[in-house]
Amino acid sequence: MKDLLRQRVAVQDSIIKKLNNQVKLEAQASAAYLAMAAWCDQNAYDHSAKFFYEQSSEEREHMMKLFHYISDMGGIAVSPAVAGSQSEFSSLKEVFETALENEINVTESINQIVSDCRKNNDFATENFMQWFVKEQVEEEFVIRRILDYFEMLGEDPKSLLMIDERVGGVSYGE
Amino acid sequence: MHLIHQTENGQIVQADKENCFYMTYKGMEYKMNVCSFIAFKSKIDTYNLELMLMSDVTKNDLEIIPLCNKDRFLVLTLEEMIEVKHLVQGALVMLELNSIVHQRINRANLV
Repeated sequence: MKDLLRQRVAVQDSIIKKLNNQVKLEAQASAAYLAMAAWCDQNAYDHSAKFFYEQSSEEREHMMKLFHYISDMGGIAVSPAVAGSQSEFSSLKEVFETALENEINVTESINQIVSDCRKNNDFATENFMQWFVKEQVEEEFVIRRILDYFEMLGEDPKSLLMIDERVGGVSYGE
Repeated sequence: MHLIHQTENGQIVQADKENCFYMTYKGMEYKMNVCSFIAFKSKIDTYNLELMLMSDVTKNDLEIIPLCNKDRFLVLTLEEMIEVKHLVQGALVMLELNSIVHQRINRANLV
């Protein structure tokens, strides 16, 4: 009996499901960042708004990367339905704290996929996911560093202005 | 033709020459290539049977499920949904088992 399934699909169904869940998570993150960008814009935090617009685009790129991989491997990529995002925040610090929580959730989910790939001997998907593992290190670092500024400078108007100006300059150097 | 999985009212067979599957359910035959079969399984998976069973809404007693590219439609009662879901999921498990067997044979030949 031919192995029709393997001839057509290179990744197991259970892994495809998890990758589709990740697609949804990235789409939700993209929408959440867009809402954060809007809040920052409304409150005149221009640099933070720019930062979150870029983050939103980046998350969408991550989603598309996963989406193409699922299709290329012969799986069914599901265009995700995205739930409403939080659009009200009490402070700029809260925005970044929420962003960090989001990133931690994404990291956990990616780690879980890598762990499942190992259990299922799916080396190709594990290799593919390593790019996301590396990316998450950077994403978490940048937001954590911005949150450090709040600890250092406080949240009076002048400090907030200084923090906002520094947001775009934070980068992760390995 | 290889029988993959069967239930009381249905069966799924693999046709090696045509590289496709035939699902027979209550006397009707549906031909699916691998892609259509996986799409159909994904579609079936999205139905939450528990939720449908618990719901008082009468529309949940019947479901219209399109086959790949909406060539044909399956109109199933809740009871039939349970059976078709079992049929398709069971078939996929058997196909994955076949893949494992092929993998093991390939590996043994490499040693």
